[in-house]
Parts: sequence; structure tokens; C-alpha cells
Amino acid sequence: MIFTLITIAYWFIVLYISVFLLWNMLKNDDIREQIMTVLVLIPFVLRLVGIK
Amino acid sequence: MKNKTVVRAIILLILGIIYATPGIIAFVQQWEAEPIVTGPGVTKKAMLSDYFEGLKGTPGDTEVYFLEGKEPGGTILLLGGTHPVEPATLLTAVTFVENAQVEKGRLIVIPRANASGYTATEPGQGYPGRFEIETDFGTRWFRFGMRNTNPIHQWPDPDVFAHPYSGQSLAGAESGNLNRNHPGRPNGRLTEKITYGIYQLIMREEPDISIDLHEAPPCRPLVNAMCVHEDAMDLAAYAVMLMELEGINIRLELSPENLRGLSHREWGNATNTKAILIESTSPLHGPLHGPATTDLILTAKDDVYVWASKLGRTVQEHTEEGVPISVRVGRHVSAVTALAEALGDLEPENSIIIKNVPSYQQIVSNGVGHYLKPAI
Repeated sequence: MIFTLITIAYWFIVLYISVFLLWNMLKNDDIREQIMTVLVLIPFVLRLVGIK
Repeated sequence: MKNKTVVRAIILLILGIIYATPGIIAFVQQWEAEPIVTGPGVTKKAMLSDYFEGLKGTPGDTEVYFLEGKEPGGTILLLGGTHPVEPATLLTAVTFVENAQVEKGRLIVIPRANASGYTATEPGQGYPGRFEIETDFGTRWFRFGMRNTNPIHQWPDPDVFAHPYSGQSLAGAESGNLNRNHPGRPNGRLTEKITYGIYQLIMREEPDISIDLHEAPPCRPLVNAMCVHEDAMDLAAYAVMLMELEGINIRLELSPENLRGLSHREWGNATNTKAILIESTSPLHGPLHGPATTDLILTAKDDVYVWASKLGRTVQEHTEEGVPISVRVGRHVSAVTALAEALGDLEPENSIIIKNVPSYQQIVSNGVGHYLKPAI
């Protein structure tokens, strides 16, 4: 039970960081920042859908 | 938020997805299981979830093949793939499924006992995800997985894993190790559910012998040994003698009473089956192995283990010749047939007659691929 709760909590943390990164990317005018954000975002999205 | 910024972000996201796609495809391909041909001796195919409903629809559910003779007799349960990093176990199970014809008694085979473990490789180890075997019809591919249950299916590991029935404490990672979780719990984590399903199968089908196939690196104590519950000692000793007559040396070890959660201990304690674990040699998942290549899977040629062996750091000698996969499968096949023969001699009413299974010498001479059927 505790492990299920930890897994759910982890998923929401990953979701929160993913949304935060995406928002940051849409707000940021600097293309270098945007490229870096995409690179950071990819593993988070993969983790969200269980492919990593 | 400027439109230009948003458009650029969307383009970058699309480029990011394209960049990640090959990796995603390679990763998802690991979920595909290799084909196993249903041989002429297979009379029924079931799923482990038929024995424990809680596995239905989970990555732990796995195929169970029945090879039944016309005459009643004893029953053998054979498990391959308890640890998906031990390839000879899967190949041995497949060799029986695709070739064996049972005349008397029953043979029940679970080729991928931990199906979840076949859907990933050990993080950070660089293990190949699959390997190929040359057959008379071309190549057949087989999955090479990880020792434990895939962490995507069971996460996180506890700091300390306590076996629920004994309180025995082990490293947290062992919570995903099928062979530390017997006999399992219906309300446990995925690994415990799989072992509970196997336990239910043993309770319902009442096999006389239950065999759990493994491979060990040359530095581990059980390499090339048969580890048996005390109730199976007479039978196993007889089988070891039969194997020695065939020119195969195999050590006989008694299952330690205090080492809990292992198949040879828990099946023997909780049921009437004669619980036996058999090991061959495979350096790849050992702590000293060299480059993790498919060649190492198939040949077991490993310079580092040869060096360790010369220093006296291995339990058995490991030479430059390695241990070809056919030798390892041949040993396992020989052990299973020797146990069936021993059961017939010791308990004639429970004898099991298995035909059309190649001998150790035949597998070594012709290669295991010669006994694999073309996958359609």
C-alpha cells in the first residue's frame, strides 16, 4: 500500500515538474533556454508515460 | 506570452519528440516477448492467472504449457526464466515445449516465470536486450532481461526487504527477486503475486517434482550444482548419479533451512512437491564479467573470469574455452530427464515417460538451435 502511494506521489511530482518546464518554455524568449528545457523535459515526459 | 515564442516552443517540442523516437522504439520493443512454438507434445496452454486471478492483466502473467501423456503417472513442474538474465533456463524450457512428447504422466512448463523481468535490462549494466540462436531454419531471437521484476512494474524498493513469513531481512532490491519471494502473498507486490500464482499452481496440480532452473556466475557457490529440499534428497542423489554416468559432473547441495523465500525451500516446506533448483554457468550477470555482449551470453568466454579463476577466486575453474550455451542447456535438459528417470525408479506408480527430448551429447554435438522449431 505504501509503495503504491509513493508511486502515485512520484507520478504527480514528475507531472508537476513537466508542466512547470513546459510553462517555462512557453514563457522564455531565449532560444537556448528553450532548447535546454526541451532536453530536460523529454525524460520527464517519458517517465510520465512509463517509458523510462 | 509572445506568439513567436509559442510557435518556436512547439517546433522545438516536435524536434525533441523526433530526437527521442528511436530510443522510445528501442525501449518499447523490449516489451515484446519472443515467439515460442507450441510443440506436438503440448496438450494444453494456460496462463498463470488461471491459478491466481490477481495476476490477470498484469505484466506478471505468463504462459503455462501442459504436456500430458495418455497414461496417468507423475507430474513434473519446470520453471525457466525465474531470473531473465540466465538464458539457458529459458532455452531449456523452450526445448521441452517444442520437442517433448509425454507418454506417461505430465510435464508442466513455465518458460518465463518472471515475465516482467524480460521487459527490461539491468539499469546501467549495458546488457543486450536480446540474443539470437542459429537454427536449421535461420535464426531465432530470445529476450535477455533483468534479474528482478521490471521497476516500472514494481517500484520503489524498500530499504530492507523482509520476507513476510520468516521475517528474514535482505537487501531492499531483493523485493523484486522472484527467488526470494516464495511462496508469495495474494495481496503482496507484483513479484509476490507471481510466486503466489506458482504456489497455487503447485497446490492444484500437485507435481511430484518442481524444478527451478538457474544459471550462476563461476564465482557463486551454487554454480553447476543442484540445490534440493531435504524431502527431495534421495531423488536428487539418484539423478546426480545418472548424470555422472552420462559424464556430467554436478554437485548436490542441501537447501539451507534458514535461507527463506527460495523455491527449493518454500515449495518443499509448504507443499508435498520435491523442490529442486538447478544451476549451470553464465558469467554475464556476475560481478566480475567483462564486456556484456551477446557473444558472452552464448559462449561464456570471459577473460576476467579466466583471470579470477587462475587466482583461485572462482568456485569452479573457468577456462578460455568458456561454456557454450548448448552445453549449459544440455546440462539442464539432462538434469530434468535424469530426475524423471529417478522418479520412475524410486516411485514406479508416479513414473513419467518423456520422449523426443535430445540428450546432453546430442545438444552439445548439434547445438541447441538444431532442436528449435521455425517460428512463424
